[in-house]
Amino acid sequence: MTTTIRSHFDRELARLAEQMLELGSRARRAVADGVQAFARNDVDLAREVISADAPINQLRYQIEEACYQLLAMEQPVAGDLRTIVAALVICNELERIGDHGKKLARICLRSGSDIRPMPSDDIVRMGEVVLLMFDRMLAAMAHRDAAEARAVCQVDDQVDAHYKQLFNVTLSYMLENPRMIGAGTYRIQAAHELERVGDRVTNVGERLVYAVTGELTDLNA
Amino acid sequence: MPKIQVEHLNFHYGAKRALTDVTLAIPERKITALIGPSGCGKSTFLRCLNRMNDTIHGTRVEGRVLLDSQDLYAPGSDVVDLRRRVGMVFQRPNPFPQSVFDNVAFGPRVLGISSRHDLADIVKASLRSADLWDEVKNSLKKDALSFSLGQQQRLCIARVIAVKPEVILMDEPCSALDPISTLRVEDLMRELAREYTIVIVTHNMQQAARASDYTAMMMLTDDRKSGTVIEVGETKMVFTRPQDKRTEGYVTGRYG
Repeated sequence: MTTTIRSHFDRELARLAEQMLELGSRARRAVADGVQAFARNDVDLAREVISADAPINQLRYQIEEACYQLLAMEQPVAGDLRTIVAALVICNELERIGDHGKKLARICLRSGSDIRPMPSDDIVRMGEVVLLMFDRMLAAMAHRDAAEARAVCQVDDQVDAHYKQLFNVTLSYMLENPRMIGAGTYRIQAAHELERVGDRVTNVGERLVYAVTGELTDLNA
Repeated sequence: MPKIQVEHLNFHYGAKRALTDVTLAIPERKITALIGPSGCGKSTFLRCLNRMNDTIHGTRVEGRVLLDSQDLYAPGSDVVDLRRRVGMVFQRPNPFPQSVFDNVAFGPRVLGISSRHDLADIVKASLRSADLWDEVKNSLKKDALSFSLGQQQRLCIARVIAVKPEVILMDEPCSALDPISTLRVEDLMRELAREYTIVIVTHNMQQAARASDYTAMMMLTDDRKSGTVIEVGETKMVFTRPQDKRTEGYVTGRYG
């Protein structure tokens, strides 16, 4: 019979998991708001996203510090060690996802003055795919569901496909109308930020699988 | 080929079974740690490897324990020579109440070595191997019990080495020592493993993780009446990715 002897450690691990989900939630909001800011040319929203980045970074460092302390104080092994080491990598990825949201907001501010904006429906659609992927991965984190994490990583192929299509469409626009080059460049940059979010969500999934199963593999080569 | 191969070992203290169906290979010139909760038979198992349990009345062994493919329990086995080949270091340092020199020279003298010169060479070499020579070289005639516990334990290791063993069994060798002495003994184990096969029983998870190459997890059987081995593997895997949930529970401290 297993008795919970390390209750203090278990509470700390639970707190770590909560903080990770909080970080994920804020990063998700940064991406969602960044997409909206870019799509609607909403400079106020863009400035909010940029302001919200510093607290995201702060939370990331708090989590990192907590991990170092747990390693030193609790000498974890096996599943506990994998969970904490994975958390160190995942919190970095989540913070970077927040950065991509911030970059989307910055692109909005840079492109806002363009007098011939290009349609943004495909950016929004790509954003929806990426955010759904991210939502599923956050749920997998909450439930420590390695199978779901693996499944979500496969969706990155769709994200990449969206990016390629958007890139080609934008290129055509720019070739047909050189005055669209400015706006087109911003579109491609925005799509690239979303494509990177997909990659980072995959990285999160790989570490989640490692934490739960001990298996370290590339889940979307 | 393993240095020691244990096959389907059952051990009884009279009517009480203490070990059930233990099968384990001890690799040569490696450090194998035995871990598990109190009462699961770790020390009993260790003592089976050099027949120290024979000294307890009413014990009975089934199965085989092979040292270099020779069954230790075969009729006619030379138990005295076995205990030279498979030496033991105990939980509490137990030097004889004699000088440092006489402690280490005791075993060689029993084996027939009487030359003062030869004994001096053996004592010096053994104390060097036990990382103790520099501390005692000017105090060889001093009473062994006057030294610190850490030094006494290294003296006991030197005493084992002096008779040229092949295997060194260690039953919680550091539990009575301070942290620095513990680390010195662990470093010494690493050096000794170049030449000897080492099996260590320890309750200290960090020690098992730091100091061993292989780890065998022992646990009580389902009826909780005897002990058995439930998992064995490279230490780095047992402590990062144990296969058995009970091992995971024990090494993470969830199972008491």
